[in-house]
Formats: sequence, structure tokens, C-alpha cells
Amino acid sequence: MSECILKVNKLTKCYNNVKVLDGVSFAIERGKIYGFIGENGAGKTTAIRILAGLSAADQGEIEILGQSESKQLEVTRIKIGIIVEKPILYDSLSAADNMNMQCILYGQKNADILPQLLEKVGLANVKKKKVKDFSLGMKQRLGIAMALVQEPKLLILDEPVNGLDPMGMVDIRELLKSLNKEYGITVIISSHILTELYQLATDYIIIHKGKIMELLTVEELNDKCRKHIHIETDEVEKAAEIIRRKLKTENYKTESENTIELYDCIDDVKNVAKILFDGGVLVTGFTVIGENLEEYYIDLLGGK
Amino acid sequence: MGRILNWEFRGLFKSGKFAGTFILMLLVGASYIGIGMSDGVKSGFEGFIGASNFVTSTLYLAGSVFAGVFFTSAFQERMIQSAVMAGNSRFRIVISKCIAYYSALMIFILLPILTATLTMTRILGVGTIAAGNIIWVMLRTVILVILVNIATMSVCIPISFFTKNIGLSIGINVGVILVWYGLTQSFITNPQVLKVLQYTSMGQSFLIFGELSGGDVLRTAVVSAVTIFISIFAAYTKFRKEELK
Repeated sequence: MSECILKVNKLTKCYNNVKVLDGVSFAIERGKIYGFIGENGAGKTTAIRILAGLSAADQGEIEILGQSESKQLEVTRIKIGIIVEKPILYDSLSAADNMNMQCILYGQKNADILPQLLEKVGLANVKKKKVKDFSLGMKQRLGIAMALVQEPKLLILDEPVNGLDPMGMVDIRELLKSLNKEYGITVIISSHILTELYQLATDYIIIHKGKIMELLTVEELNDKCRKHIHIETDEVEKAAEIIRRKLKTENYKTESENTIELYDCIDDVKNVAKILFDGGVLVTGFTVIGENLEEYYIDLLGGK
Repeated sequence: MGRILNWEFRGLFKSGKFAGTFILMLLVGASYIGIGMSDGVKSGFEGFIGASNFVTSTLYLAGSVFAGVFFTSAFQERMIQSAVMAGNSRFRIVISKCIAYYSALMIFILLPILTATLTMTRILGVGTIAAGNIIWVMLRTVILVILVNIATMSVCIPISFFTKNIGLSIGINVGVILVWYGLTQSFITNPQVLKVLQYTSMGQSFLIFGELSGGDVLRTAVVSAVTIFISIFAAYTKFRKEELK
């Protein structure tokens, strides 16, 4: 099991006698990307605001990077990057000046990090442009760059793709993937845009009406959704032999005399198709089938 | 503490609200040169005393508006939230915010006084006083002017922390300060009321231009320090457990 960098234990929060969080518990392991899923009002933002120190829990504990005592937690927050709802920016300042202000606030003295981060989020060419002239997507990317100035181990983003156009969503997704892969930054991203989260997260935390409904990995989700590659061919035995030999998996089922369902390699369909083709198997049908995250989530909530 | 103070001051000096009030107070100083000269001011020292008095009423108006914008916009633009998320304690945030506010007020007070005094001294000469060292008297007076005025303007801090709405905060700040100023001006000549007024920073702002004993100076300092402490304490008490949006 990987190192746990954030733990939330039985977190409870009430507003006007309404329980917004009801005994929420989860643990975040280093190096993963967590999708924090829930409908509007499910408690995602409240939980993130408590983690950010903007709100206090009525009950329960949080532990960030091994610290759980309130004074230590306060200080430890400098090591995590958080965006709650939308980035906090000085509209009248340029992107570079905003980054400078963030460096001052976080005590970052390494001046080299600013151009690197602006380059990373694709804003190096507009660093002198005032933020008030930025598009929503550019503001989100600048917000992420600002959340990275202290070189955090954990990045918590609340609805970072809300209101973005499809290209903007792709930009943010690719950026987060590369931050996770290249720098090993653990990411928690809350959203109700499940199609987007499905393409990004390695793990999911599903919250509904203030309660954690389910914690699962992408593998568990795929398994639960019975996601598989549906292969149609007249040479089932030959195809099965190639799958066993080349893909080194037994995780498939021969459904009929001309169909195989392959439960592995779902993220690498191109390779499966190529291996079958190279093996001389004539594939007449090749489809990825199964429930997606959105359908699974709706089922979990009782088909609402 | 240095980190957040540095951040506060950078934010302050880059802000339009500071620049706007700075220009206004510069114009106040410049306008007093004309007003003072036409009122028969004969020396730089008389100009200094006149400017120190003259600046107060404008400061109360401009400072109340500035306080409303400075504190409430920090909540509305979520800069306070940014400071919390950067691992600063709420105590440090309140203290650094107040230090930045007081520094801005000092600049707003000194700017017109220095502008008027230096210009009038250059034109009319520094002048003389009946007793004592003129530089020492000017220095003591300017320190007391700063002290009592920033203490008086401190009441805008808790008001702004409680209202957290720019319009409402400006309205209450201006209302409270101007009513307080008006009442003090009306009753300062009444010996019975003066016994109470001398224990307020606003009352002290009327008394510091007269003959002052060591005890008077000490009273001014203590009254101002207590007013500042109570104001910051009230703001911190409101803020320390507050839910931030």
C-alpha cells in the first residue's frame, strides 16, 4: 500500500441543523488522482473548505502529511495547493505579477520556478497580460500554476473544469495528468462532470447527501461496470491463444463460437487490435462495451 | 509573519484604493497651502499646525471609505481565504492586515502635512515658538496626530469585519466617524463632558494642539493604545472561528 498523505475521519458538519457532512471518512494515497464525485450540495465543497482551513468541522479529524493537531495543520497547509471553487487572482495585475504575489505569500524564493510554471500551464506567452483580460480557461490554468508555486505534494481542486469549453477541459485534464506523472503530485479533483473525471482519475470517492457512498479504484470501477473489449472473429481459439500468449492474461471469456470478451487491456485497445492483426486473426467486430462512470454513479444512487 | 506582511504591503501598494486615497490626500495638502496662505499663515510652523488640523476631517471621510474597501474587499476578493490556505494563522492575518491599514493611514496623514509644511516653510521660513525646540514640538505633535487619528480610525476595523459588505461597511464607517466627530466637536468646550471626552481618541484629537504636560502625552498614548487594542481584539474575536466563503 502506498503512503497515505491525507486522512479524513468521521468528519461531520452542520449548517442550520442540516448535516452537510455526516461521518465522512477517506484516505488519500500518494501519487494517485482522486475523483471526488457528488451532485451539487452533496458536500464536496464543504469537505474541501474544511481541508483548506476555511471552515471548521463540528466533529471528526483530518490528518494532512502526518499532522493532525490544529496548529500543526495550519502550518502544514503551506505544503498543499488548493483551489476552492475558482482561483483567487488579482484581476488588475498581470499573470507574472500574480505569480510573484503567490511566491511572496508562500515564501518561495526560487525565482526560476515562475517561468517554468507559466510554461507548464501554457501561459508563458501572455505573462504580461492582465488577468482581467484572461478567458475562464486561462484563469483556471493560472490558478493551477499559482497552486504549484510551493511545489506541493498534494493538489486539491474544487470543480476546476466548471464552465470551461471542451478544449479548456482537455487542457486541464492533460495538465493534471502530466503533473501527476512528471512530478508525482497527488491530485484530488471534485467535479460532477463524470465523463471528464473518468478520463483522469485513478480512484473515486463518491459522496451523496453528506455521506461517502463508495471508495473505489478505476480497476474496481471497470470490474464493477464489467467493462470489456468485445471481439468478434471466426477464429476464436486462435484469438484466445494470442491473447494468452502476447497479452499474458487469462482474464477473458469465450462467449460464443465467434465472440470473446476481454476484461484486461481496456486502456490499450489499439495494442490489442494490433496484436490480433499481427497474429493473423481476422477481426470482424471490435468494441469496448460496459457501463461508464456516469451510469454506474446513477445506478449507485438508485437510478435517480 | 514576515511572509504575510510582505504580501500585504505588496498588495496594498499595488491597489487602486491606496493610489486613489494617496492622490486625494496629496491634493488636500496642496489645497491647504492656498487656504493657509490666504488665511494669513505667517510661517512654516503655523502652516504645520494648520495642516495637521486641516487634514483630520478629510482623513476621517477618506479613511472611513478606505477602511471599508480595504477590509471588506479582502473578504470579497477572497484574499483573506488565500492567506488562510497558505498556512497563516488567523491571528497573523488580522495583525498583518491591521499593520498594513495603519501604515496606509500614516502615509495619508503625513503626506498632506509634509507637503504643506515643507512648501510653506520654503516660502515663509520655519518661524519661531514661545518656548522649546521647534523641531521637537513638531515631531511630538506629528506623532500624537498620527497616534490619535489611527486610534480613532481603528473603530472602522471591527465594523468592516462584522459587515463584510463594501457599501454597508463604508456607510457605517463614515456615519460612525462623522457622528463621533460632530458630537465631540460640539461638546469639547463643555468642562463636564470634556472629563469623559479626554478618555476617547477623538477627544484627544482636539486636545493635542494645546499646551501638553507629560501626563497629557501619557494619557493620549494610553487612550490611543487601548482604542487600537480593543478594535483589533473585537475584529479578531469575530474572525477567529469564522466560516470563510
